[in-house]
Amino acid sequence: MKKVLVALLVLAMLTTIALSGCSGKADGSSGGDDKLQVGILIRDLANPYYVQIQEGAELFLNKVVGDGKYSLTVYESGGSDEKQINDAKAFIASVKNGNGLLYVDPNNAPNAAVIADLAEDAGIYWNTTWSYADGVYPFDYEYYVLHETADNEVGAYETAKVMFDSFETPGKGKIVAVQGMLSNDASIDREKGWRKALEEYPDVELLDIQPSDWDAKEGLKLIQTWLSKYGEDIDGVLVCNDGVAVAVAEGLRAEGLNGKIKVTGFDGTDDILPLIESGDVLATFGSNAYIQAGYGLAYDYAALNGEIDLDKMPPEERMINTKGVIISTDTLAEYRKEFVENKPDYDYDDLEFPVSSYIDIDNLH
Amino acid sequence: MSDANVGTIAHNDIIAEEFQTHIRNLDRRNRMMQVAPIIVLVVIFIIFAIGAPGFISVKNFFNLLNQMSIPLIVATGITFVVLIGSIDLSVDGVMGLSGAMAGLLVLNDKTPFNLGFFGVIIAVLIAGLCGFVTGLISVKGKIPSFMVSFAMSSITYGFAMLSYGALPPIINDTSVRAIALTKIGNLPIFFYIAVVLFVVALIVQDKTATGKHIYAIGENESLAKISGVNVDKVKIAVFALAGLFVGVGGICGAAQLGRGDVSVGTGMVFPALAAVVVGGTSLAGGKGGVQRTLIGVLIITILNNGLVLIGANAYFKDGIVGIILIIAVVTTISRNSKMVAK
Amino acid sequence: MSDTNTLFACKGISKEYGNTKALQDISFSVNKGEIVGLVGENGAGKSTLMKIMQGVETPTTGEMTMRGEAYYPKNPKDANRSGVGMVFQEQSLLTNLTVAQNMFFGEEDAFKKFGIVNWRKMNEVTRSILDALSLEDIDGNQKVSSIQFSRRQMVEIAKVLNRASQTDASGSLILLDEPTSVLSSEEIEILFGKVQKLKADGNGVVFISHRLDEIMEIADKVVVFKDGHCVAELVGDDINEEMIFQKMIGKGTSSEFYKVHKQTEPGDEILIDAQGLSMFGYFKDVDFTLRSGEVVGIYGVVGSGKENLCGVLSGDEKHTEGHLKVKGKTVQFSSPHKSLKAGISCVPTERRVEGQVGIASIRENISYSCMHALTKMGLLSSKKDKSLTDQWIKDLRIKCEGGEQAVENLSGGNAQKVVFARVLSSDSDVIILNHPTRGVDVGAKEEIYDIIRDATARGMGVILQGDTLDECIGLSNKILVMKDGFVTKIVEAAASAKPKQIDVMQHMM
Repeated sequence: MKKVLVALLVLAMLTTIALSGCSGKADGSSGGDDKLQVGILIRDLANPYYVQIQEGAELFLNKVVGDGKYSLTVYESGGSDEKQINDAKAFIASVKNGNGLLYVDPNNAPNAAVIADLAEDAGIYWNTTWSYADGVYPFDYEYYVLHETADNEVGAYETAKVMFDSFETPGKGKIVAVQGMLSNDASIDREKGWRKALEEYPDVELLDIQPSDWDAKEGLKLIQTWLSKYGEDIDGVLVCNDGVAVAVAEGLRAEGLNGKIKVTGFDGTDDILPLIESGDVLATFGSNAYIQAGYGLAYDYAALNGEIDLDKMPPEERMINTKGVIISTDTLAEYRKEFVENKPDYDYDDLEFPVSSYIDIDNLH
Repeated sequence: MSDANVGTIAHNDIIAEEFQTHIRNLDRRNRMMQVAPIIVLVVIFIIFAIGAPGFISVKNFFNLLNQMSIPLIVATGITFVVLIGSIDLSVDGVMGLSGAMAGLLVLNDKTPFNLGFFGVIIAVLIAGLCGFVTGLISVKGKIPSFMVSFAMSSITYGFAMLSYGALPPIINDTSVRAIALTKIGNLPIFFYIAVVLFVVALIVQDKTATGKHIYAIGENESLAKISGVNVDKVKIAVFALAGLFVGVGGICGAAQLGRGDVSVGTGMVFPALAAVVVGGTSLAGGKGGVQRTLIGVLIITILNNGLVLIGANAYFKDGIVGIILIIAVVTTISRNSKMVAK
Repeated sequence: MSDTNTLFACKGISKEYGNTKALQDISFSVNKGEIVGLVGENGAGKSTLMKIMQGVETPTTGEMTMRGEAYYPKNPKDANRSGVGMVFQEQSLLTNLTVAQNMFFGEEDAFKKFGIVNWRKMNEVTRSILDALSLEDIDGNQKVSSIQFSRRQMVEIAKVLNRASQTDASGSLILLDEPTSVLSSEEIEILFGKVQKLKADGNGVVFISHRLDEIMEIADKVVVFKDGHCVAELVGDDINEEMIFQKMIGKGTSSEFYKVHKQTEPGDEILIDAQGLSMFGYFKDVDFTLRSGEVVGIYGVVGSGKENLCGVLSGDEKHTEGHLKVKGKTVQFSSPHKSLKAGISCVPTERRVEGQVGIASIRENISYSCMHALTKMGLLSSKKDKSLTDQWIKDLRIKCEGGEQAVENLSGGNAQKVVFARVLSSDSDVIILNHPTRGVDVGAKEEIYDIIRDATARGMGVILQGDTLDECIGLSNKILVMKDGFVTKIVEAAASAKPKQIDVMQHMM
């Protein structure tokens, strides 16, 4: 009896993990070994940004590969490096004859190094987004097709500028900043962008900067504590991503300060748009998950069916900054039209389209 | 008395006396351990009062009360589970599920429901049901509670995610939002909810027979059983009660975030359990109580708050909390006692 | 049986646990206003009978009556309702609760209103109960943990009396299992005073104790148990210790059984030397030596300190005073591991729990303690491992399906042999045997005695906590008799001059 209960319990647990962890399993029909296996390794689908990543992947796959001809699995690391590696191994094991594509958003940069070796050994084309590992570059590998990142630095820089310009006395004020995770490339680059803006605006003072581990609750606590420390000296809060920015805005609302203290985020997810509309959040940088996911996989796919020859591609073309867009009250309507009411319809054959600039390969870490 | 001697001290007297002293010493140590958390609280309070700018201020005082509310609700609930010698790791998922359910049942942007107060009640009951199931499987199936509750965390998390698909529902019901946004005397309504729930817990713990039965079960389960207590029933009830408390915590979290987002629960089990343990309630069961948990929650809240005010390095922050936790666990576990998570 | 003076009577009570017969055909009675002393060796069945009387266990056969009416308690609450209350040997108060809360534990309904308990009222009622027993210094609102052990004993008696007291004052039966073992002489006096008062009030008392002088002082009737049988009911003023001893002692098993002819003379090497060894609160001033090839038996009642002494030697406990030398080196063990490293291994009492890993195979269990001997460059040599196991199976005649069989599937005796194999493989100089033949059938017992003799022949030293006095005498070269934490006498037991049971027993009671 006890053993039956334990077995049922484990089964239930595995089923729900499978259901929630792989809630992005999109399939056209059933069966068929010859289906293209597509794996996406991300943090967790509780974050609307990653939901858009999944949508972006599906847009590409449905358009180019064809409904029913692929099998998409989304793996959530939940913040655990180890789980992500295990997920990578699990995905690789599910691919037959190298007929697979892998999109990886490394939980922490070093994971990319491990996956690079795994994918190389298994002969599966893959790409990274946001973070890459020290010394591990696509152009040194046969199967590591691409590293792409929305320009964290540029995006953060632009949003910070929008904030500083919006102060009562433009260019003058005091701010606090909420980082993501200290060891995470995206977080580090965004902070670089903020600091670049700070250099250009000498009359803006950074009072404090603290990490939040990408956790909304943490952001809430931080703004509460800062408010008691600095009071209404604070003119603006730079926030690492939209999920946390929402919490900060709500924290301000609880004090009746929403809209009065400026807040910026990053990512451009659907759920921050209403707050931009109401003015509780000033701006965010739409990293455009549709481009990231869609074109990341497009590059991998092109390598798989020989449309691009990696040997012949110039190395700098394999590390790109993707296009993003500042979303603020002004640009909101346009953004909505393009990305929310309709889903963007891209030409995935045009692999140059997503590129906003190439990463400087002479200055890699 | 004993045939051993007349006029000199009998053997049994010597040993009996030594044994008494032995017991008295153990007792003294126990009492010291009870006081330790309060000392820790006072010490860190003083350290931050001196070293952290803005710590001693009216605004920060209200901040602290605000920040400790939801953790207090959750930690109080699971204190009872710890008292019976079990553990409840399902907090993350159950809180998230409760928040998500509330989000979907009251006026929101995703579903047509508008159940208001009843939506909230239903969400809390769902959380209580989760606790009940955890207790049932753990007690009747004789499966260690850490296993069952851990599984329950994943299951409830999964359900929550499935329930709203991709985007969490935005809560538009103003009275639900009022739980976090409306202030009475500078403090949000959920603070008062926390106070009420704490008092209720205290009453259950100290003024009901069941409260004493809970302590008995934690100390010596077979003795309690022989004395006629329906041990199984009490244990399951404890888990259900914890579920209810955690559920309320989840709703307050969702009211605060404005969304029925499962992330209101993410990572909450650690500070909740830490507060229980740091406060001095023994993981082995039978000792401690919700008053201790209150101290524990205060310690954790003040620590987090003070470290931010100091502007401490983030890694430093995690390290400190971890160290304090280890110290607390070490001092509340008595040496040589075998601890089995029941 | 239907004598109106009879409070309690039992007839033909027996209790079997599997193959073990703990009690056989017990019949005796307790009258109102009578104090019955119950004596017997360890394992004679006294506690088992009390448990049956208290409803903690049910008898396999037989019947009981209380005040002439059939009495079949299913649990202690039932027993209480019928007027039977027991103070167990182990403390049964909840230390985290107050005296009053303990007093009424499980019976709070009378004080409840809308679920809230009126502690004040409960304290008041407790006050009157305590006062009735002249326990003025105990307060109902005190936590039990803050009360001295001996006073706790009094609280238990008060609790039991309260539960078992009958509204029609027809007398209760109070069972006391070793109530004096933690009391000082003064407190014992007080206790006896209370017991006399109980008797005067028309209650019946059954009093188990190993201290014959106490029994003789207070009991009206002495019932002697031996090997699960009730062998005597002694009444009258001229009972003396001698008489009681005679009844308690068995015929004695033949020396053949214990392989006395194989008993080795102690060698010259002193393996263990204890001087003034004490453990605060448990035993004091123990002096003895253990030589190679010698078997030293330790005998005494439960609580005499013998378990703690073995605990100190095996590293489970720490001694607080005195010196302990193992092979000439002074030691203070902080863990069983240290004790093992010093050359002492232990066959524990609860073999299934402490002695072996049930789901592991015979081979795995044996090799746990001697891994280093089986490894070559850090890797376990499976060949050596297997041949060692096979050797042991042969030497010890372990009945099994081969070295890979899981230990939990073996019979008690054979499982015990596996523990022996492990201990003997571990290259120790001293083995501590805690009731090595408990739960083992006769045939396997003999084989185990052989094993012990072989061990001493090889120069090992053995410390033995024997299951029965007989076994202790038969196997040992000398016996440390312990009582109330002290070694009252070291009795020589050379092969040619084995002492009689009475020679040993008189020092332990």
